[in-house]
Amino acid sequence: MTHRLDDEAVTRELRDAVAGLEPPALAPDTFARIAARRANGERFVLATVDAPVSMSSRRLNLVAGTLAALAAMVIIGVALNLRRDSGANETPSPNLLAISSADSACADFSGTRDSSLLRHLMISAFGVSAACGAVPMPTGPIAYVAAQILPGTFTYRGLSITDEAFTSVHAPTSITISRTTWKGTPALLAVRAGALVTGVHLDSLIVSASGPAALYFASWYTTQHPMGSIHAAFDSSSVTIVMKGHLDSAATFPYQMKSGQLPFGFALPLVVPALPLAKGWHGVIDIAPPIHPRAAGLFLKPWESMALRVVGRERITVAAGTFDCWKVQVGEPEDKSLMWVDASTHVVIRSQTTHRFGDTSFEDQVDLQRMILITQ
Amino acid sequence: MPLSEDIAAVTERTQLEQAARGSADALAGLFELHAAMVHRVAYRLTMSADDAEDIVQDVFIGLPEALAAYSGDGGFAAWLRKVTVRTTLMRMRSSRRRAATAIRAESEKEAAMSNFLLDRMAIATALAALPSELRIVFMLADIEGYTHADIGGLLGIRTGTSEVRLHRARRKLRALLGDR
Repeated sequence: MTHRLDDEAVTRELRDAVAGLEPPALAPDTFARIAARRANGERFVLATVDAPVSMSSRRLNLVAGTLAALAAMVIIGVALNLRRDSGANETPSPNLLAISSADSACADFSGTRDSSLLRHLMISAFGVSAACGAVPMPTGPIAYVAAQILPGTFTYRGLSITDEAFTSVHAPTSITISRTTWKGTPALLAVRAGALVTGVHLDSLIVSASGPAALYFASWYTTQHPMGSIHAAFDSSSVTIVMKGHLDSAATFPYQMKSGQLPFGFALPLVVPALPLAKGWHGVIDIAPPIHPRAAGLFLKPWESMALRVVGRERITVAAGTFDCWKVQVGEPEDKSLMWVDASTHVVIRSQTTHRFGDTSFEDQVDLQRMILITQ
Repeated sequence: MPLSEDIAAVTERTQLEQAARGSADALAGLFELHAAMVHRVAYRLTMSADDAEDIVQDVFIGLPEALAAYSGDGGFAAWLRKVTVRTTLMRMRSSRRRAATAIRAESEKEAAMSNFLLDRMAIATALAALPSELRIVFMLADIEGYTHADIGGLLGIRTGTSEVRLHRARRKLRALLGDR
């Protein structure tokens, strides 16, 4: 065969050669395994929608990772330690407002129950999230006004942009915030419906606590699916929350998601509305995942500080409407993380973050798509 | 339409309706007819036998529910092929490919030594060594017959970007296969 072929001939030869490339034979029991998995209730959502599938081998992991961070709440806990100074704070203040949350997987656990927490974390990515905020309120120098958090359903949609060529649109996710009580004091309950969970119906909520510890150490370990019941238990030495209800689910989410970066984006709607945002305001929020001993090592750091600073006021338009917003810088200016928070309701309208990995930058944007406020 | 085609179309429609209602037999029939195509498409895009087999399972596990989105236009096989491509791309996007990256340098070396031997081993090695964004465009354009406009829409890239990637893919393949 000649080494020098004209382009067309080479292309033709390549095409013919590749077209003749056959995979190794399928295992003879492939269909039997498919039938067994379906019989066990397993479902898989196929990509039938004509939306772009963002691809880049060089950025593959970044896309997947950020998808996980954006679209999932995995397990998160937010403990607020508010103060005016942005100095380092290694240990949480005793005056914490704790907002913990967890996902209960919408995956099918019938028959077997995976004991791996990590596995649960992955599966839970597109499941149902629940969050419970509890008092005591912080008594630090910055007032946190929980009453400012409006009950309602807030639907967000994420967009990831690596550059002009690679854009990924995430499925919308809704967070429903309502008021409840915990230990006889006002608390917030937030339930998030994921991409594959179309509805969440909460029938009962049982909260018990054996100590005064903040809820941010809460964890979860039990989830069940499919349609018909949802049972999420948060458990620690001090707090147990059991929710019962049922969910409407389309199917299981098929892809493994990694834990990795904390998805601050979906915790913020619970936190930011209560902040006393105003011209020139700044403060620091400390964020901690609810680290269960079994989950130790899943997170790089047990505690993250996030500085917030109001840097301006802008009118922006998203799918949910046009809003007069406080523009809030998250972290340092070079972090290029911003939030736009409606000045009247303090609802997060948009959050935007630029991640950098070596010479690659990656932009996440989450916009409010719809907002239904609930009068309680 | 000839009677035999008519019967085939009716049979297929019946099979699809039954599969959509959860009939395992109908799904088995669809598997028998289309699994090889699904497997081939998945394999060519991933160049991984394991991934391809997983994708076959995923596609047929999800097929009954996905049939609700099938409008009947353009033929079922073409629709399923498209779904397979999209499912494969989404899976690739969410997979971590460390192992593939680690062996890539070695594969490139081996492929380059193959002196343009267009045997299957060399082709498979070269394709595996190709960066996935190039391989995908090459496979979709040259093998699956997608237009650059289609590929652009599928991957969320410009038509021109698709053309550039195809050019790069061919050039890289030639280099890997020893056309010096």
